[in-house]
Amino acid sequence: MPVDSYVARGLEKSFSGVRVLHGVDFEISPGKVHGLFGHNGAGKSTLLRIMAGACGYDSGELILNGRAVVLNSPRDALSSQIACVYQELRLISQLSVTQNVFLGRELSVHGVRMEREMRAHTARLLEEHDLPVLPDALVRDLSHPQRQMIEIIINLDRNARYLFLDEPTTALEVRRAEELLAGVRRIAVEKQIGVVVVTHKVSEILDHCDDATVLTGGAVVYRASTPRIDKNEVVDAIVGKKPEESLTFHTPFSASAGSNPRLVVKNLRTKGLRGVSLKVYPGEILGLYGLVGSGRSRFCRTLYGMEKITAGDVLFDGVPFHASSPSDAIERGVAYLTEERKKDGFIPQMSVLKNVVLPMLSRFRRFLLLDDRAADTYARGVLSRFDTQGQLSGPIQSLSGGNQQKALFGRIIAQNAELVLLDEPAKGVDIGAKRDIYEVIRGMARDGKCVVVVSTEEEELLQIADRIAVFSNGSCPEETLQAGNLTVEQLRMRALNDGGGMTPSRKGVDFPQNLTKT
Amino acid sequence: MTQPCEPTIRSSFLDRLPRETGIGAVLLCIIAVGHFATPNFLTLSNVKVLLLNGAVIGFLCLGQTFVLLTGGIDLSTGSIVAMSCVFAAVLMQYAGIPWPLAVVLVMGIGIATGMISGLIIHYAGVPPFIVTFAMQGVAASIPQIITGANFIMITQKGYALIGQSRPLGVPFPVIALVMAVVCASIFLKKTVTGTHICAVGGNAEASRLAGINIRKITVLVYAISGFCAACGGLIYGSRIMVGSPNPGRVGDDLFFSIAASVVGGVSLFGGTGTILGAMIGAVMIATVSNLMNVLSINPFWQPLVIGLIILGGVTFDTLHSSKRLRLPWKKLWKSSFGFRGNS
Repeated sequence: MPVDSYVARGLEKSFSGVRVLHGVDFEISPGKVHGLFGHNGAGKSTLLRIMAGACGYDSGELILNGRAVVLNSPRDALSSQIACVYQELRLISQLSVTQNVFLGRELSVHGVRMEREMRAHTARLLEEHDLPVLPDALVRDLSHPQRQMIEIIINLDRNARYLFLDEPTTALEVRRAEELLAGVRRIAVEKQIGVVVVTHKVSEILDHCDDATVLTGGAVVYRASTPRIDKNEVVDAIVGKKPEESLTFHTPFSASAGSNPRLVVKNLRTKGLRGVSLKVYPGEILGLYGLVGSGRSRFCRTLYGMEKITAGDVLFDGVPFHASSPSDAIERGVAYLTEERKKDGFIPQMSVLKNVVLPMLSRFRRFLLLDDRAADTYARGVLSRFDTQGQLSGPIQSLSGGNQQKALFGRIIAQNAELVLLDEPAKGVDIGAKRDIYEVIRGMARDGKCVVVVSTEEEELLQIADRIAVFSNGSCPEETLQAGNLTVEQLRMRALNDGGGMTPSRKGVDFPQNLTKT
Repeated sequence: MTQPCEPTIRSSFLDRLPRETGIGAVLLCIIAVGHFATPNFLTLSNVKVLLLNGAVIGFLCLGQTFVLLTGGIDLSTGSIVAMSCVFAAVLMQYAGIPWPLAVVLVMGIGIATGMISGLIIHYAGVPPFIVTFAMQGVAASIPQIITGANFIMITQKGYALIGQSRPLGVPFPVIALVMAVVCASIFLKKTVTGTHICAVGGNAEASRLAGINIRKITVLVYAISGFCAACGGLIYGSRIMVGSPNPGRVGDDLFFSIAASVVGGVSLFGGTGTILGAMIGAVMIATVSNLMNVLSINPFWQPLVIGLIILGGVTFDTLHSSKRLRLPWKKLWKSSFGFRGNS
């Protein structure tokens, strides 16, 4: 007798030559909640996208209810009763709940909408799921968990039998996350829906799971079902045991006793930061680590004058430092390398060289006019350090991603700033250039600059940072970890324990010390 | 002309031609067609008429190009032409101000009007389309209110020098336009602010993070556009020596100026385009318009033809920007017209 299930077998997938999934097996059964765990870049999002039809795969197969299926698009998946709720919700916020529920499949008679029937159906749905929301309420007036529930309900109403939830609790407080997961669990059991929850927050989700699978480096390293799921084993599996971990190259710099920190941040708060305290000493590189959405990038952007500071102090060289805008920050000697170069990094149609010198064009002004040749020569000189491939006088958009990143890093060098904020400095560059970039970063610190590096790659962070501050839920305690005697596992452990919701940091001061011994 | 569009070194000879070659070739074709269609087209007197009529469109197009480069649009220029025309007459006839001072004041009014649009766009975040659309209404009705829709005859003879004098046989508006174009090209290509204008149009957020003062750039481009429109109004007024709330074809001028920029290769999405291209576009529009007059084609046809030209230009721009133009004929098109190649 064919068993109802949705199975992935031996999935392999590479992105531009890099293998991200190494023959992954995964199974979902109706009526069960399956937790899919893994660290940043472990391949869980790729697996989810493949199984939801949003992404192709190189080899392996997908088997739905005993039969092989080919999903070419999310629409294909939906017609096979497979649905996915992504982190970015798809609801249209200006429309009412009813309108969203029936979006694209409105009930009508000769083109006239059957408002009453649609509203009644929506009301019934909401009632069924115990959601205290009116069918006519506008989506934008609802809370985030409510929206999430509505999106889930909509997918169920479209007859989804297998439902993927991508990081459903990221934006939620611990209690709200509990509510949501309890709701999901109940639906799964009552309606016999197979639910997959993809997340890196272990402790929040684990209690609500029937099955747990952990991916590390694109392979399944742990799999268990209800009575035998052990939280410590899950955490160990996520953190990974890699004995041949590359060692850090440099001897970490430690601030000599008595030297004063150049940058002091005390209990900094903004709309998304809930208390960040840290210090950076001259000559040292401070690494910022944390899960996605923990506030690392937001912190950099705040120092760069992009977000309003609501409370707390920032002192630079002992002087209060509040940049009101990026141009103000640049004038005060701050350089910032954005994490998303395409979104807010470079000007696509502008030449590579001009992109490098963009923030300091006025340096090349001669009698009102811009000395193009001097600017270009200077930019060429900066880029020659990295062996940037491509037409430097051509538009930057025609370069490969790695070379674009080198150009933007060249901009940071050219700025010669006192406070350097680097968000994923080596994103997408090849290994050789990575080493060059690390060396330049180290050189900046040696010159006495204040360097702050954000990275999701633990190895990278351990390699370049002297100390590491761990962010979680928008806050960062003043205690930091010495990078020198830290391993990747310890770092991940730290982030997991903080971000996992075991200790909801109320003020960002209480910080568990039990797991990391430095 | 501007650096975002530098040709690559390793490309073929055709690719190394300036981007304006394509539109220039089209212009030459139109002129050739005109020449063979009627002997009255390529005469010295008609060319002078063509250029004189084109001067106002050219000025509007010049200002419009700055705005388009930042990714905005200025719909108020046509009305500012009318407003300037009337204000000049009011200042001279009613306030008794000597004409040179009146001219400067009118230019100031044009700049101020543009600055107001720019400030609202920057601070309120209202889309440029809406702000300048509203400004168009405001600027159009002020002269009507002042004059009660009547003409004001201008009696200061010196004012006529602007629109009617012909130093060395060339109409002064044409000389003024050429000078303005040279200044604008140098400004855009050779100054820091010019580079910043292209940067803002290419990626506003990245520009802001690179420390560029977005407010300054936004206000500046609309001020330039307002200034150019005021110049257009002065040319109109001094040609007919009348302060008219509806000189020439105000609506058409705005329409033609946007068309000229767009067919000249200035992207409606910002960041790409050159003054030279826009000016060739303006000459092309003026030529098409003039040719239709010379051929005595019903004037009602003109907006239709210009409309089709805009549609063609924008469609090309859109397909090109979204990289959907990967059809086999794209290569052919590129090699035969030297249109912006990618890499």
